[in-house]
Amino acid sequence: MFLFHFTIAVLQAEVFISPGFLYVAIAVTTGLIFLLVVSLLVLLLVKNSRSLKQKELQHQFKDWLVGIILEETDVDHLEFEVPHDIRKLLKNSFARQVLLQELKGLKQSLSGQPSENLEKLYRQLNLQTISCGSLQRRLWHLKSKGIQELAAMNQQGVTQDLFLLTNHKHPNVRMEAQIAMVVLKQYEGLQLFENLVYPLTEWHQIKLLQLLAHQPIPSEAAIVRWLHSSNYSVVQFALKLIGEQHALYFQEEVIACLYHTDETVRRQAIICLGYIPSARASASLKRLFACEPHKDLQLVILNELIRSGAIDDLLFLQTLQENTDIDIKLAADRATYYLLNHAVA
Amino acid sequence: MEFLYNLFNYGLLAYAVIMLGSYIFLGTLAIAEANNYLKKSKLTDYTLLASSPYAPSVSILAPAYNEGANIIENVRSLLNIYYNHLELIVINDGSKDDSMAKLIEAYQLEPVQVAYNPKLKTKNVKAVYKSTNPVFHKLVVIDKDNGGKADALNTGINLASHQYLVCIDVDCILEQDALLKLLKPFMDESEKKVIATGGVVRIANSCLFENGKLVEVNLPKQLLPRVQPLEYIRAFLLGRMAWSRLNGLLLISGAFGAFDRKIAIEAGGYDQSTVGEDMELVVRMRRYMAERKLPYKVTFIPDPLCWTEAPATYKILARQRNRWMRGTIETLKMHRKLFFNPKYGLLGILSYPYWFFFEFLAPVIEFTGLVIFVILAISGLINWPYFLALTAFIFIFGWLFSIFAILMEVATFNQYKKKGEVGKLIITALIEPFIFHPFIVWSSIRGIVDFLRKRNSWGEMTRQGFGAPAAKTQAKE
Repeated sequence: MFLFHFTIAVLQAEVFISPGFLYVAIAVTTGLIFLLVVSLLVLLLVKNSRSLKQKELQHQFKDWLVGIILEETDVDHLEFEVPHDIRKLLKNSFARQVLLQELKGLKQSLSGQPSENLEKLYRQLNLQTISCGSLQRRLWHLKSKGIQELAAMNQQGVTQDLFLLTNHKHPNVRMEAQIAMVVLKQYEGLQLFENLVYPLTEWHQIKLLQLLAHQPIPSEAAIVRWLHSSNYSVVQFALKLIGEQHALYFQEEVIACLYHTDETVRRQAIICLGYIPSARASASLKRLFACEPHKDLQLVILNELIRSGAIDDLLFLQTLQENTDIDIKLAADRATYYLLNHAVA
Repeated sequence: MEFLYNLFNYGLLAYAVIMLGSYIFLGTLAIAEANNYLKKSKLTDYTLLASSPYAPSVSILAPAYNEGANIIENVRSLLNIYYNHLELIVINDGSKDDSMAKLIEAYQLEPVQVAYNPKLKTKNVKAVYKSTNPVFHKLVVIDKDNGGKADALNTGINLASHQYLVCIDVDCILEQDALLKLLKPFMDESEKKVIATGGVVRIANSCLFENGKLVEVNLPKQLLPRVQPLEYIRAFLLGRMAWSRLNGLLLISGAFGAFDRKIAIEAGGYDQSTVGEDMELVVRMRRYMAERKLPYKVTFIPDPLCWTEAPATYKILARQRNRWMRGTIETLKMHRKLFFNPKYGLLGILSYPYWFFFEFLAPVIEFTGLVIFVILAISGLINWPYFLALTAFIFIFGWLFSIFAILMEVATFNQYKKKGEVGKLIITALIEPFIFHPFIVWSSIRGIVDFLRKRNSWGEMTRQGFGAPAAKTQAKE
């Protein structure tokens, strides 16, 4: 009631609804429009100008960079030749930023000698000062940018600084730092898992798996530790890694994860066993099926039996024909069909 | 009597002030969210999802009714989307033209037996088709009895076998990397479950398309379609970005949105009794999660990924806006339990009331105000200097908001790069209150009247097609 009377009193104050007030409001709003239109024009000019300048710089760098990439260098190689016009361009900070982005982009699609040449050029031109400078900035996106550049350019000297950022409060910074550690140190970079406070997102896990795709697991002990981590996303990641690498020797640990308290971990363990099939795996899956309370996971089990199952499992699948749940019956039918047509006994 | 008069008077003033204030508030939030998104996006390599075996699997659902004129090209465009774990389900919703025959011939389809458990009730499915050509192995075509868009989508949901659903209009053109960007939010959260993600729908009129791909963006040449990009920029870049930041988004466009399949089914799928099935499903999925106290998010991405044709005539525009208002009312009515209900958190305290007061009631109040004004003017009771000053302020504020939206567009995705296009948009914003807005208000009022009269048709939506001759379509009556 008090609020109602107060509101009425305020609204009745003539100063708020007088024509004079409206004239002021019109003037202010018109002024703001003028400001916005000017900002628009300036923004358009700046954007167009930057875009044109960037294209021009890219064009000017192109032939020179192609030469650098194709150059055969040896251990004694000191410096790449930087033409005078390029040297002059690189006095400008915008040009250095453009070059840095070009080098980063090229590095991601090259390997071997060309890739090493780009790293050497990066160091030769002192571009790591820009990346390290970004690393020290407060703004998260600049930090992340710096991290990406340093990792792309294989700057091993900054791993200590990057490690400190792996538990940064901003999710993007810590993700980029964690990824960078793996880029630079591969499995050794994953020591951060020992103290990981925050969960790994699915996206993050995919990125790490991509980086480790061609790196065989060096240490069984580390994987076993991860499988027992209190951070369930680390367990999930370890299971994905085992599946990706078809690391059959972790089968017992994976089977133990079938009874994990977290549903996501159990799901991943089921999927993992599909990648490391064996009679023991399918027996474990069938045992789990009987006691798994979540129907979703039961369906995942039936799906994975397609990969890990054998002709011996047909009896189990046939018993499911009597199940009252249509989804279970259909999944069992599908698994039966595949096993009859594709399974190796 | 004087008290009631003042209450009405000042009540309207308070309504207007709150409305303007909320626009400013949402605009500010939208800046922060768009800024955050753009910075993140620059650092992201989306191609990771395209090749990873751990990328989520997606079923694209594209209902089609009498789309014979363009369906072959539209399907080809969708099959060219850059994504691996994908199935494209086209649902022919009892078309009366040659859509089905064209699809069968062009994509070498033959009927197949598919065992699935239809969890959602739909009209009869006549047959399911797959291609004999391995090039089109991702394509599934369902031929069914006509039941409307919601029914067609539910049929697609029943057959879909993948984790996420992307529901689109079959005549929309998607950018090649649309799925990569649309699905990333589902993978970015570790604490809350993302149940749906919406994308921006952009106006394709006057744009150039070749082989189902966008090659040149142009501002629509005709005046009526040209106002609509402005409207869409305001709605998407300002409105929905802000609501996404608050986690209070109630609407994901039916033309382009992604959903968690399991949650969509558990929430009951699309409701066939409403013409606003897109909004209604999002509200119902949100309620489903809120009632079970499960942490969740509905996100929105501002990248221009989906292009669609906007109505080019007042007749078609009126039908569209009439339907949108009916859909809004139906959804608000079905979920009236949310109204200022703290049990539903932000959904009940802010999102629902906002839609009720400023999306549903706004045209009613505006129209009523216009009628009262005419009566008072005839009666000689208008304080003209005051009226003109107030009208000028509202008009200029509206223009300011539109220019702010244009500035956001230029600062973010800057689709209209050609010389003079931004200037044309600014001028369009100036004349919009005269040539467009009153018509929209009137269409909304007609929508309310039709709702009260229990009319539930979609109406005829005539499309020009992307370079094809005009084709008339008619959906469920």
